[in-house]
Parts: sequence; structure tokens; C-alpha cells
Amino acid sequence: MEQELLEIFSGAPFDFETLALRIFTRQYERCEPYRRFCDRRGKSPDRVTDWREIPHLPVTAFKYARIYSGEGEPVHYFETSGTTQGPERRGRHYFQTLALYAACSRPVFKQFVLPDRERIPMFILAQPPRLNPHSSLSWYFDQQAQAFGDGVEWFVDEQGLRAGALEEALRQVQGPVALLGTAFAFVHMVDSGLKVHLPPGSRVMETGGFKGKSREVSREELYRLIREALGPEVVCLNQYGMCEMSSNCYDQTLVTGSRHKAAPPWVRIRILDPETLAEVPPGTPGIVAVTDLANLYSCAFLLTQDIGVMYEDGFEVLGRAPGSEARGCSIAMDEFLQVNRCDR
Amino acid sequence: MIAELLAAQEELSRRPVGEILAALDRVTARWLDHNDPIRREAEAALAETTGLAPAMIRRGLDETMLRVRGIGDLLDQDLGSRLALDGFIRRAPGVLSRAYGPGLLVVVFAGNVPAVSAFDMALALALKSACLARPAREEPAFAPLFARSVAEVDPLLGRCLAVQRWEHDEAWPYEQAGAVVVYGSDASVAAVRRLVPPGVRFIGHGHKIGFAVVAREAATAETARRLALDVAMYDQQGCVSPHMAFVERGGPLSPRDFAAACGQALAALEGEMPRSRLSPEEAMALRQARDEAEFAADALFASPDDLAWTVVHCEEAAFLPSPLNRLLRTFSVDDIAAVPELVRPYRSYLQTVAFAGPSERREALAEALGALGISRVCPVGYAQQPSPLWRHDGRPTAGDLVRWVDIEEPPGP
Repeated sequence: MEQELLEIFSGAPFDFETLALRIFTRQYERCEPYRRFCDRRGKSPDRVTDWREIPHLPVTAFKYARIYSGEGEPVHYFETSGTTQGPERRGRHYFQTLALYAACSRPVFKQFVLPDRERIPMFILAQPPRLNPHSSLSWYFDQQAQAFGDGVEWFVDEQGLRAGALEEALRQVQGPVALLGTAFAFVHMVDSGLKVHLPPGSRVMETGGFKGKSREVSREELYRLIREALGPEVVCLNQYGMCEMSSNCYDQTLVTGSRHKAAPPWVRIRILDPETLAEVPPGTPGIVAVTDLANLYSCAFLLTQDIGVMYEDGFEVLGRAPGSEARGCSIAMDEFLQVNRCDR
Repeated sequence: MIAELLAAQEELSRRPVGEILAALDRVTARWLDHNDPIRREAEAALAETTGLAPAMIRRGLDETMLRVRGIGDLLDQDLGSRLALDGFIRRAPGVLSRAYGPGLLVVVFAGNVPAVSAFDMALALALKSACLARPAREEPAFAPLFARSVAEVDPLLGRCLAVQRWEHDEAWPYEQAGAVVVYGSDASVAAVRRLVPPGVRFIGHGHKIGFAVVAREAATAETARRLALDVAMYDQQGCVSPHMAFVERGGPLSPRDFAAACGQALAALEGEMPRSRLSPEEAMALRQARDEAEFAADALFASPDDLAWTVVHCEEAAFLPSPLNRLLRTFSVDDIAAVPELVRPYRSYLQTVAFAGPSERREALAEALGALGISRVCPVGYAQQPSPLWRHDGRPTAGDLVRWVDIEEPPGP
């Protein structure tokens, strides 16, 4: 199946539904926590005939159970970054090999971040894999740097963003460049007062939430601040991914001009009603459910904690579900945890 | 408007308290009549605005009105006698005392429990004070209807009540207040406190978390049934609603089986009192708590097709509030005597404890919890029906609103 997927990542035609059902069967058989999850819902491969009926495993499961469908022991795992809310449990995404992981990200990055060129100088606002070997994001950036970088420098170390060094490096650039990094690193960048004027064709790709690591700003506001800092011609776009996924989705800004996100052919996004988990119509917010067939060694069917909306030309992620607040003098769990920084 | 309230209050101050209470009794009699048009109008409006089940609204209205009926007894308890509001009463040899109401009582209500505003408005009147009520955005319907019912029964009392909403940062409502009472989140309480002039009595009822304690003797399906009612009422949004239950091992039902029984009881309530609609955020919070429980908890009992009800059971006890909307956490304990230590770090949030078990064990527990600041231990199944004599957050509800004048007589010959 690995070979088949590698060909699909290179553009080979395939039938999504059939492959999804085959991967479901394989993961149901190999991953015991997922099998029990499906059994509790009465969904086994012999009963599921439509891929949309395959149960989506909540990503929180990666924190408590070993979600592994590979053969033998995994060679590597990526770990969720957690938030600053406390020493919470971290999720682990295990891999039998990293070959699929490497192969599924590059063509999509090329399509949505570098549709107009083969290589570009890269300035990465994240820790290099050397400093954070279990960060899927560091690994992802490194993959793109190896494949498409024309000179690559990393600007986050153990102390945080090296804003001075970044500004100095950006002042030297001759042609278009790409800045890639976490959303909160870009907040730190604009807050540092950095100001340069990058050549047209330069681009910023940011990803992830703020996770309490910087002030929270809307994406609109962040992009405005970035263009103030880097120059008005800079194009900003967002990548949607997570530690528990292998593939990534991107804004189509550089391809069609649309800010709605597109997924590669082996990924399907559905938006579900949080109450019933039924699919909601386009335009209605709900939970983002991801089917990522590149997740061969873990679970391809994920229920995220993000709220999203589907449109005709792609989807939008409105953000991490904020948690509920009580309506009056009562207090709900999330508010309580925010105040008390509980460690559960 | 405030001038009119103050003028009406001046007139009210000359009314004997017995007459005021008699008028309030006529008001509550109307509300306790399920066929009274104003009651029916309120039931329909509350169902519309809150989404709560009609059966729950009916129950809540009855309980609130019975609490209002107890205001006379509350005055006797807090003031020694209700007659202290009419003139001097002998409090001790050589001391005569008379109580005065607060003057204009401004109350900011929260939207979590409908119809509770009746109590504060009626209490203000019984204390011969006018009341300016700000209903919550989520529940604007009841307070005007209650004020109207008062006006229909007794025009002067009606003129002493005004219901209006104002912005959170507006200070004018508090400028001539004699006392201000605020229900809401800690942030809302603090925001109003900043607007209240110095010297004005301020009473804030902020964030609270309720929980239940089930002694082994009472770990039965019947207790589970009562606890389910406490959880279901107002969809757990009351500050007295239990978020979690500490269940002692060694009883007729194991804590895990008790949790299962709570689930069955919550399911049984679905017919009569279905849960209200959820905002997307509330639904997501419940979904995530359930997902987490499926992998992290020792047992999960949950409605199969939706988020109607959830019981999450853990064998290792902890203090972890619920996302509300009918998600109960149960924790096993070897001995309920361990509960005070478990909850001690969160003492500032604690208020109501629903208890099931023998009375001698209840007292020992209440002693320890009382020392931490818990102010009410009620039977499981009655969390939402505080006694009219309830000292809300541990303070005398009527007593805190009055001021006293004492006459000290000269020593006798």
C-alpha cells in the first residue's frame, strides 16, 4: 500500500472511496484502540459500505492511546506541542517509516506556496529539527527547505525568535523570498518592530494558532501587521495541518486568489454537527473532520478540535473551539481551567 | 424613572410589613395557579427565550414562588421579627431596635436560572424598598411579567418596581442606590462593583461550583435518580448545580454502577425534561470532554446519538468541573471524609454540596466543608430548591440588606 500511496502523491489517478475503505479495514485490524472505538459505534469494515460512515477518531485519543497501525515498532514519533495552559498530556503520532510523510507534503507545498518557481530563499520562523526532533512542524519545514530552499536560515532557537538577526538577513535579500513559520512567531516578529521592504513575489506562510505563546490577533490583523513590517507586496497565506495529520491544506491565495483552503486529492475535509456528528451543509460552522489517507501508519480518520465552514471552493478554519462558558454565576470547565491552570 | 421609584418607595415606607407580605401572597397565589394568564404567558416566554424544557420551567416557577412565600419567615429569622420593619421591638433588656430597608435596591441578574428574579424583587418590597432590576440578555422575559403581576395586584408595589436593561459600563443606575446585588461571572461582578459609589452596600454572587457527596449507605439507584434531577435542572447552569459527585466505595452500588445508574436516570429524564439547545461552542466543549473521557476515564455513560447527557466516571478522585449541559463527573472515594481535602484548593468557588447519607455523617462532613467556606449542604435532589431561609453564599439574605437603629434605655433604678 505504501507504493500505491507514493504513486498517488506523484499524481497517479485513484479511487478515493475504495482506498479509504481499504485503509479503514487495515487500521481497524491493526490498531486496537481504534478498533474498540469503532466497535463501540457498531462500525466495523464488514458493516461500513460508504467511506463517510467510517468513524473519525478524536485527536485527543493520540494523548491517551498508542494510535499505531504500522508493522513492527515505529521508527519515529511526533509530539503535539501543547499549550501554555499547563503541563498537559501530549499526543504522539507514530510512524513505521517517514517516507510517506516526506512524500505527501512536498508536492502540495509546491502547488500552493511555490506555484510560480522552483526554488526560493527561505527564512524559517520555527525551531530546526535539531532543537526539536519531535516537532512535526520543524520536520515539515525542513522537508520543504531541502526540496525547495535556495539558501535556508532558521530564526528560532531555545531563547525564541532572533528578530534582530532576521531583520539583518532580510535587509540583504535581492529577490523574492519566503518566510515560513508559526503564527505566534510572526506575532513576535511584528511586535519586535522589524521593518523592511521585501521585493514583490515574496511570501509568508504561517500555520497554527497562538496557543497562549503570543497575544492573540485575528488572521486579518496579523496579515495587515505583516505587510506593514515586510512591505505591501508580500502575499500571506495559511497552512492547515496538525501533528496528528500527515498531509497539509493551504489557502489558494497564490493559485486562484481564494482564501478558502484546498486539500490534496488524498485528503477529504468534512464539517460535522458537534451534537450529532452528521455532516452540515456548506456555509454552516461545525467540527472539522479530516480523512487523510497519508496517515497509513496511525489513523486516517480524524475528528479535530477545530471549527470550520465548507464553501464551494474550499473550506475555512474559524479556529480552535474556544470551550464553553457558563451562562451566569456558574462556571464551566474551560473557564475554570483557564483560571486555575489545572494539570489534567 | 429613579425619581418615580424613590417617590413610590417613600409611600411604601408607611405600609405595615404585614400588608406588603399579604399582597405578595396574592401575587404568588396567581403565579402558583397554572391556569393564570400571566403564568401561562411567562411559561411560553421562558420556553422561547431559554430553550429549557416546559416541564422544567413549570417546576422552577413553582419552586421560586414557594421561596417567595417564605420571605416572612426569612425576615423573622434574619431580623428577629418582621415587625422590626414597622417599629421598635425589644431585642434584649434595655435595647429596642428597628430595621430599615436598604432604600433603592438595584439588582443585576444572570441568565442561567430563569425566574429567580422574583425573589429579589419581592424581598426588596418586603423591606419597604424599591427595586430596579436589570434582567439578563438571555432571559429578559420573566422580570417584566413579574413586575406587571405585582402592579395588577397592588399598584403601589407595582410602582416600586422597574425593570430595565442598561450597558455594562453605565453608572447611573447605581448613583442613588441604597444597595446593589449582582449575580454573574466573577468578571461581571467586579465590573459592576467598580461603578458603585463608595458607601453603597454591595453584594456580589460570583462564580460558584456545586458538587455532590454520596456516602456508601446511600449509593443506590434512588439517590442516582435524585442526583440526575439536580444535574438536569436548568441544564446544570445553576450556581448550585452539581458538576461532580464523590461516591464512597462499599455501598449497595459500586461508584461505577452508581455512575451507570445516574446515566440511566438522566436518560429517563429526557422524555419529560429534554436538554435545551446548545450553542456550537457548548456542543464542542461537551464533545471534547466526552472524547477525552472515552480514552482517559474509567467509564463513560452517554446518550448514543447526541450530546443529551453524559456521565464520566473515574476511580481516582480529583476536582474537575464539568462543561455543564448535563455532563456529570463521578469519582470514587474510599471514605467521604477525604472530600474536604480534595476540594480545599478550590474553596473560593464552593457553595452548595448535595449530600446523600446518614445524618450523623452529614454533620461531620458539613463541619469540615463549612470550615473551608461551603455555605449549604442540602439533600441530593434538592440542590435547585434552596430553603427560603437560605443564607446565599453564607450571609443572611435579608439581614445583609437592612440597617438598624437601636434605642438603649437608661439603666433601671
